[in-house]
Amino acid sequence: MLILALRSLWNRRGTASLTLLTIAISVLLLTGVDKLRHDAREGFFNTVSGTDLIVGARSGSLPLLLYSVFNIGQPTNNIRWSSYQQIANQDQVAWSIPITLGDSHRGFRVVGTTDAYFEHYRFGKQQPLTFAKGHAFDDLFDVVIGAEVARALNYTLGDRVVIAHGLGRGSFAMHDDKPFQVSGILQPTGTPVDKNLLISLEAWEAIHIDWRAGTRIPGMNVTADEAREMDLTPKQITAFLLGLESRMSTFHIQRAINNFRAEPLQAILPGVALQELWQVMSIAEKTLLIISGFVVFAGFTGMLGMLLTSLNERRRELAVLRAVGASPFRIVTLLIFEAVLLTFLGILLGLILLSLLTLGIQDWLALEYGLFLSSPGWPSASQWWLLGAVQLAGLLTGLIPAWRAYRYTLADGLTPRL
Amino acid sequence: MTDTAAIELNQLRFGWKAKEPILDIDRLLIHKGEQLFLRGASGSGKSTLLNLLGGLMLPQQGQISLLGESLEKRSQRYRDKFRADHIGVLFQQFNLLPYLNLVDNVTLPCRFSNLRRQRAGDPDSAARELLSALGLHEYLDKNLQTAELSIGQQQRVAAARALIGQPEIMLADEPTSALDSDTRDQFLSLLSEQCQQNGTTLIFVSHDLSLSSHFDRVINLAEINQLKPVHETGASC
Repeated sequence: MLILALRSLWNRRGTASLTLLTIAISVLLLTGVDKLRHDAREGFFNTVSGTDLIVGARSGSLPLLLYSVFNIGQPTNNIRWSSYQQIANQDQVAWSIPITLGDSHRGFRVVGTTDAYFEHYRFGKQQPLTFAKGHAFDDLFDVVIGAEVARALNYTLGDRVVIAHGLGRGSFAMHDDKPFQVSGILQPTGTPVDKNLLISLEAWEAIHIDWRAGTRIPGMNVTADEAREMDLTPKQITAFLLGLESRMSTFHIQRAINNFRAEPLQAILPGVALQELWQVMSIAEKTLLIISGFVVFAGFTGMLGMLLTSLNERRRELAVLRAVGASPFRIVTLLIFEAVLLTFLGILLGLILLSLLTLGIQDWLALEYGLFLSSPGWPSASQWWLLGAVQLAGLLTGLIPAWRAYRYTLADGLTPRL
Repeated sequence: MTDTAAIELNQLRFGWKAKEPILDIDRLLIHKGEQLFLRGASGSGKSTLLNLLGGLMLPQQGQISLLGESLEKRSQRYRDKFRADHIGVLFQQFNLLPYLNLVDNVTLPCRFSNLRRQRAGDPDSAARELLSALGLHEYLDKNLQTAELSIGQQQRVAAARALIGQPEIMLADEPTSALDSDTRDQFLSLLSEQCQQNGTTLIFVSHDLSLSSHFDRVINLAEINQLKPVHETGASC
């Protein structure tokens, strides 16, 4: 009987494959949106782990979170080096990572920091940064690059890197008098770290020593070698990450920083800020899911249309089957099976398309949008639910033509009316 | 009820609506192996009678026995199985499934009835034998679409399907109406011959009395039906 169903469907493979494609595309969209949402969330929540507080100039908690660790948006103001020292040297503070932002290299952000970055920064499940090649800052003009930077720009150890003043690709002011050398390349992390170039705070100070307010001071030219001899203690940083001895003191320290006397500062808990961020994102997320839900609905409407149209053409076929002894129940089963099979194949095809698409745009998304898609694999729990719902919808859609076929077979008997 | 009865109707009444009966047959007995020509004009309720005989519909009153079994008290599932096992059906036209080849079309009943599969032995070779006997030998090994056959040839394939696995009864509903007179006579001779060989009781329904010479017995539905149909309309055509 199932063989008959398959043969019958094969006989109508033209329309059936179109239906299949519609379902596959709707499944692709549905699971794709779910994957995007899941991976984006994963990516965000994996970026900072182990950091108890992020401190920056007073603005909003979201902007601070976004520019300090996600490479999104512009920092508003800087922090005095002395303020940083004062806070970082407190007893309750286990470690701190200073961050200075504002320069870039061919579209990738340059981050000024210290060796503490390699020692204390954690991503994912408390994983530390590791070097694929080379080592941390040795010389003043050493730069450590993220995996994505190395891949995209095809850099390797020892390559010369000129840093551009300001963010963005269109920057023409170059720190070309003080070129850097790649001293280390980090292992991929699947976080924005992959897209960063890291230099020491001293190097940051050195390349800006003859700059004020975004331009070179006219007539003042400090060469790289002269700069090495000068006092390169940083004057300002953009933000810093704090790790505390005890989580118990988090709120205490946070309050202390928020009430800092010397300048207006703000400390945020990354987890709380992420939740806030996610609340904003979830609106877009839900909208996308609802839209893909409608696409699935459209897909099934298409299938229903095809099944009902074919049913009229197949009244003869059903009468023949009935004549040779098929019970109405079997005919109902036949039609439901058809819908279920089409849905199932549609789901399979949709998942295959999703995998291919993921492989195809993975790199591009990571490079352009910093969105790291997990590699195609077995569907996640939430995807199983979605796929289950799609399969169920396919079954329910099949019930409608099945019911009509049932009525036909009872009314027609051996003599189909056409 | 006799052992030799293939079909026995007693005080049968049927109407699509309970208050408008269209069939009222006091008694009809068809013996095993008989080849019966049942004449009925369109609208006389002949298709309805076939549906009743095939166990697809139940009478409001009276009894239908096929091969000694009363069908009117049986469940639909049982009647479907009974039909698969014991009855071959032949339509006016479009008998074949377009997505099956000739042999698969013929062996179709064996998919639904174990009994007929057992009787056929190897369904495929049984199908080939029947098709050869019905003069379709040369088409056997061509992988033809059923639509490539002429209507006369299609009807012969359908006849082979109705005969495979030696069902006791064959119901034929105007199977020759789409054939021209030469192929019609040839088809009827073959059908009659094959039914005889298989011991199949043939109930052949047609309005065309000129065909009746091929049959053992002729019954006019209008004579055994005690009701005069109101119109030539309705569901019975």
